[in-house]
Amino acid sequence: MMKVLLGLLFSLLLLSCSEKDSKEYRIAVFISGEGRMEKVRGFLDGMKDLGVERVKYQYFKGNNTLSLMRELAQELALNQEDYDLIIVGGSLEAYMVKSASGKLKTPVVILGGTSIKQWKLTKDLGRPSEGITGVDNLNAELMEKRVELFSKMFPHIKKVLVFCNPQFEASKNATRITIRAGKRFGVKVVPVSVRDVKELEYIISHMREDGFKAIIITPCFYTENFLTSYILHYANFYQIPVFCHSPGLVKKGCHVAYGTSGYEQGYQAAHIAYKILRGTPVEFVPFERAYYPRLAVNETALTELGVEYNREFFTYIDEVVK
Amino acid sequence: MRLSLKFRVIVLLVLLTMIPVALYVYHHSAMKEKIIEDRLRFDKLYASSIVSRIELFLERVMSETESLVYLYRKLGFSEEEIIWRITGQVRGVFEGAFYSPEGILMGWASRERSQPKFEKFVNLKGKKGIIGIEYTEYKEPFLKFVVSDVEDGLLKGYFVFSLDLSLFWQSVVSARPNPSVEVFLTDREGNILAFSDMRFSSRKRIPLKEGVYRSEVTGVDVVGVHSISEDGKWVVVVEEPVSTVLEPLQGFQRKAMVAGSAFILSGGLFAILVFLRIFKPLESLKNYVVSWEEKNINKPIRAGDEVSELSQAFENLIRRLEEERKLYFSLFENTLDGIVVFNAERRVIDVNRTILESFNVGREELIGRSMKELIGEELPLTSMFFSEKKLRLREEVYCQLRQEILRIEGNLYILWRLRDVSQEKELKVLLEQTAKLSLAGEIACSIAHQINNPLASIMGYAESIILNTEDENVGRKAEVIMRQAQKCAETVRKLLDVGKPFEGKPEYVKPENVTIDVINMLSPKAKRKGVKIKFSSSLNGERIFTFPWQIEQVLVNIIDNAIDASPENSSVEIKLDQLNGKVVWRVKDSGPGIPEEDLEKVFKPFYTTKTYGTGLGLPLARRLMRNMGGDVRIESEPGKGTTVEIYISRREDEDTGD
Repeated sequence: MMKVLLGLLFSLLLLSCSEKDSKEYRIAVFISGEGRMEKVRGFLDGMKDLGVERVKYQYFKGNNTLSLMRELAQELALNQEDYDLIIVGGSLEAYMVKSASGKLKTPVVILGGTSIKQWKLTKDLGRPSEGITGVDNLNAELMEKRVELFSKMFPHIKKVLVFCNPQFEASKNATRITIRAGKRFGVKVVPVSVRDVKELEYIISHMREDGFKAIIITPCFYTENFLTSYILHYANFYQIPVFCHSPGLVKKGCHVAYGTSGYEQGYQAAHIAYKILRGTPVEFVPFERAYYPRLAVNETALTELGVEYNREFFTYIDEVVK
Repeated sequence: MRLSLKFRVIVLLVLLTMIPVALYVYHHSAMKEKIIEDRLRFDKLYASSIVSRIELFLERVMSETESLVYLYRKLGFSEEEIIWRITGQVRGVFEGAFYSPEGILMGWASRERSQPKFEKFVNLKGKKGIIGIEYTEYKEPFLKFVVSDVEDGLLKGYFVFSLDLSLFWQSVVSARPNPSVEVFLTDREGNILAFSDMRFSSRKRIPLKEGVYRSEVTGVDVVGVHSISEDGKWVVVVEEPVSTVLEPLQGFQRKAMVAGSAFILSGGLFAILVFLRIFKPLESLKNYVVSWEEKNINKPIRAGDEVSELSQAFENLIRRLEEERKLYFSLFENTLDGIVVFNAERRVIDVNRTILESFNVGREELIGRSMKELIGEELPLTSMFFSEKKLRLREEVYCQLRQEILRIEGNLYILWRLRDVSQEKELKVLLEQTAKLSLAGEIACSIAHQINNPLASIMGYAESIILNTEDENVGRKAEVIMRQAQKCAETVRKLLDVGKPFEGKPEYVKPENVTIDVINMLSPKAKRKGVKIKFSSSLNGERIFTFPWQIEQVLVNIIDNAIDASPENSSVEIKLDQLNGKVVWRVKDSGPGIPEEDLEKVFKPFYTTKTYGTGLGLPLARRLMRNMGGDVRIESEPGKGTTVEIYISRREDEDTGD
């Protein structure tokens, strides 16, 4: 009996001495689809650079399906206390988690979202009120600038399409900004909502017939997710230039883009997450603006597209991908 | 309040356990203070180093911008292109405008807005460098600075650029000690101009404090310092969460706490278990002893703890054992029977005092002797009784022997109870003799009575013959008859005295007077023999309460014997003394003395050395004296005379008084 007790005590001592230095964090990653992975990669690298390596990530991927996303958001909301932090790919995911949960018990960090206030994710960007914070990539706000740059680059194109999701106020807001900017710079901007890939193909294949010669991508989850897999594919086929919102997308075939990269947003979000994990209350971790936007062009894609553009505009370009 | 030992030991163990905890708290507090103090010093140095670099960095930004303006101008870029290029290249510069030398807005470019808010006319003449701080629509402060556009010495206009202070600030504080450190740039009033990140802020104003406080920016307890630039324009505030500052300490102390607690708790638990394990039998013993005592000794135990209770119980027990041991030892020692204890090997291991005194032997003579040596045989191990058994002690004695077998704690002991029957045997003989004497006495008395009448006739006729005869021869013979008859009468009288029961009343007498009376009575006899009677007394007239007639009879017998024993012309000394509360007569004659072997015989009736003695004087004297609580002793050496001592107690005299 005494030997067993001594053995037990000795094991307890060894166990107590072998306690690991740092805590292992559990983070839930909720993204609408693969299109958000650029931000997630930035986040993972950011966490590594901050020295937070003992993290267990659990992914909730919505496969670009709203119903599945809602289910995942519900599941996540129910099990939110299992995690130290929830990171979401954009404002939509944050909105879904918030809606599913009511009052959040686990902090949520948006890797890169836009129209934060329109989504009602906080009342004040400087003092998060709903347990949600993150990076505001100002995509909606930059739509005006994109239209300006688009008009300078493609001065002959006067009619463009934007894809939007009228279900969401934030998407409508970005669309409204784009339409308003179009008016200022003499470009007719028409919003289109698509339900599936077939519709998307149909629209892209017939848009030229209606005089729409370009697509400006607005911050909308499915455009982001369908972009590399479908939109660019069809656009290249039907010689439609696509103006994207993230320079990172230029490397993936987008013809021109203006904005901040998803990777950088994710990397920046890692710093926000770090503060929360270190114990700072969410209300004291304000939303951050994404770093300054950059203009990037994929010269090869643009050349292959065979569409006329203003070559003098190249003096504005910050990054050229060949 | 009575606290049990177990409770006290457990309290002690708990207190011992608390000592490391107290030390832990003390060390934690001391180390915390030291670490915070060091961190304040370090952060202060860091803040000072940054504040001194602000102007330098701003100069660098403006200088870089100016160089790029010059470069792009040389490359033939338009003003808008130049501004766009610079906003893409110089970190923090996000928009700019070009003004003519007269201050008219000529063009602009912005990374964020399509229509930057630049005034249409600004007087920039002579201005260079920073021109002010403004705020964006998001309330973000930005700094405006002016760069002159000079070509070949000719002023072509002014570029005004907006510098995002947060972005600029990030490049200044890029090498933060750790990611948790917040470095703010404020003006002298504490209005935050830049954070170390790109957060949205609402023109927050913070109090400039130093030390440990709750940050109004991060909402947590921080170690904060600030440093003000020499010109007082910039203030750098460094805040670091206390939790981060103390993280190494907490990490270490958590480990120490866990390891220490585990060690202390395990040690404590182990100690308690060992203690309980030791204590359990002790407690059982205590409970048993205490209950036994309360039941058997009936003495309540009032002590502080188990050990005290046990100690008191044992003390009571030992005292009780000691009492009982003494009692039994006393019984053993003082019992009328002699007791001999043998072990299983039938060797004597103990004897009582009665044996030693009765048989006049030493303990060492008996201890270790075998049963066979004592009685010549080994008795079987059963209870036995012998009414008479011969024992070889120092000398052979006859004893009544009772053997008993004792089995105590598995050991076998043989107990003999011995009673000396030697004296009984002698008494038996004496009793027989006494009975004979008594019978003889009665016969003698009867004869004496029978003889007295004829003797009276004989003596009467003899006297008549003496008085009336003229024949001398007859007269002589009648005188012989007369003398012999008188002797017979004397013998008869003495016989009657011996046989006469003790009678008379006691009274106060002075021993000197009685002695003198007796001396006077015997003086004629002494004179006839020429023996001087010398009498001396050390008494001062003390009296004794006794029977005077008996004393007189005793003295007559003794002194008469002394006169008879003394040769002619010698003396008899009579001394009257007091000794140990007794009155002693010492009557010393000058006779031939008595051999030692005959000394006791003289007190036996009818023993006499005199020709005409009856042998009844001394026995009578002793009997009388013993009846009165006194005694008669005799000392003699052949050739040196005999001294007879007569004792009688004065106690009665003392008790009654005069």
